[in-house]
Amino acid sequence: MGKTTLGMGKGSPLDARKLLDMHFLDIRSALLETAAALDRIERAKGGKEVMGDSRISKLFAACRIITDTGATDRAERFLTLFSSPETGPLQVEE
Amino acid sequence: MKVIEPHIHMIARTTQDYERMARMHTVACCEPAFWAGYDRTSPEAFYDYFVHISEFEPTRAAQYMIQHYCWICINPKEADDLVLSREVISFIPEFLKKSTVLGLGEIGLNLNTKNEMTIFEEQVELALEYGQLIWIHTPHLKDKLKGTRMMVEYLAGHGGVDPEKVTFDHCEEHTLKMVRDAGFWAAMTIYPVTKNSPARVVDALEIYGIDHLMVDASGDWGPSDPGTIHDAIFEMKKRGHREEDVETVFYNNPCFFLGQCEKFQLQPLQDRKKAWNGR
Ligand SMILES: [Zn+2]
Repeated sequence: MGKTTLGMGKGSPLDARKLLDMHFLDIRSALLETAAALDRIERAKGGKEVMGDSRISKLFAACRIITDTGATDRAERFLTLFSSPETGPLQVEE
Repeated sequence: MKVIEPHIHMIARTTQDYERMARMHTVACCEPAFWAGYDRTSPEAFYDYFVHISEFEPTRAAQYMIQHYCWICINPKEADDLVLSREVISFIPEFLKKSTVLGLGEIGLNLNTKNEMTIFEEQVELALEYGQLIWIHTPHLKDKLKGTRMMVEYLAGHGGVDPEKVTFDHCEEHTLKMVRDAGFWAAMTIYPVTKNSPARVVDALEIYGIDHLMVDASGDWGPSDPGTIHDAIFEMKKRGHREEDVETVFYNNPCFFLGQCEKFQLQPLQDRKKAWNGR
C-alpha cells in the first residue's frame, strides 16, 4: 500500500492530565478485574497446570505491551498479538 | 441532533428498540443481510428473509418515523457452501430493484476459507454488474487481520472497483489504517467484549480524522444494544469535540456514503468538504 492515510485526526481536544483524571478509575478497575480473574483461575482445581496454557502466555504478553512506555500503538499491537498469522494458504474447510 | 444507524439487524430486535432509537433521535437505520444464528436449510429460507428485511421491517420502522434500508447478499458465515450460495445469488437481482435496498451486503469472510473468498468475489462482480454499493463484513477476533487484508488486497488490485463505493465494517485498531490507505470507507462497530468500545471509537476519530469513517452498533440477536451508538456520541461530546464534528460522524457521513445510492432519501446538513474541514 504505502499511501498516506486519508485525512489525519486532530488528536484529543483535552490534554493528557485531563484525560488521566477522566480515565484513571476505569483503567484501575479494568486492571483489577484482570488481576482477580487470573487469581480465580490459578486458585481453582488444576490452576497450576492451566497457567501454562498458551492463552495465558498471550495474556501476559499483552500485559507487557500495556506497560511499554513511549508507545502510542498499544491497542494495535495488542490486537495483532491475538491475530492469526497473516501468511499461509487459505483455510480449506472439510 | 439526528442520527443514522448504518448497521443493525432489526429482525432480531423488539419494537421497543425502534421506540428507544426514535427517542434517541435515530432517523434511519440500515440492515445488512446476515446469519440468523443458525444455518438456513434452503435457498427459500433466504428468499423469505430478504422479503422480511426489504418489506416488513420498513413498515415496522415507519411507525417510529425511522427510515429502514437494507442490504442483500449471501452472508460469509453461510457462503462456504458453493451450491447453496449460487442459488441464493441467482435471485439477488430481483431484490436489488426494491426501493429500500442499498446494495450488496454484508458480504465478506468469516473463517477466511477458499470457498468464502470465491463467493465474495462473485458477489463483488454482481455489485459491479448492477452498479451497487458494497458493505463488507470483516471476520471476528483472530481471523480479522488476515481476512481484512485478503479483501483489501483483492479489491485494490481488481481495477474495476471504486473504493468510494465500498465500506469495510467492524474495523479495529489493527485494520483501520490499511482500509483507509486503500481509499475505502471504514466503519467501526461498538459491540460488547468482541469488538469496539465507545472510547476506542473516539480514539480512532482523534487519530485518523472524521472523514470516510462511520460508527454502528450492529445490534443483533447476541448481547448487543442499539443504545451503544448513542454512548459513543456522548463519549465524543464528553471528550470535548465540536458539535458539528459529532453530527458529521453520526449523520452526515452515512449520508455521504449511502447517498451514493439514489434510493437513500436523507440529505447531509453540510457539503463533504466543509464537513470534513476542508478535506
Ligand atoms: Zn451485521
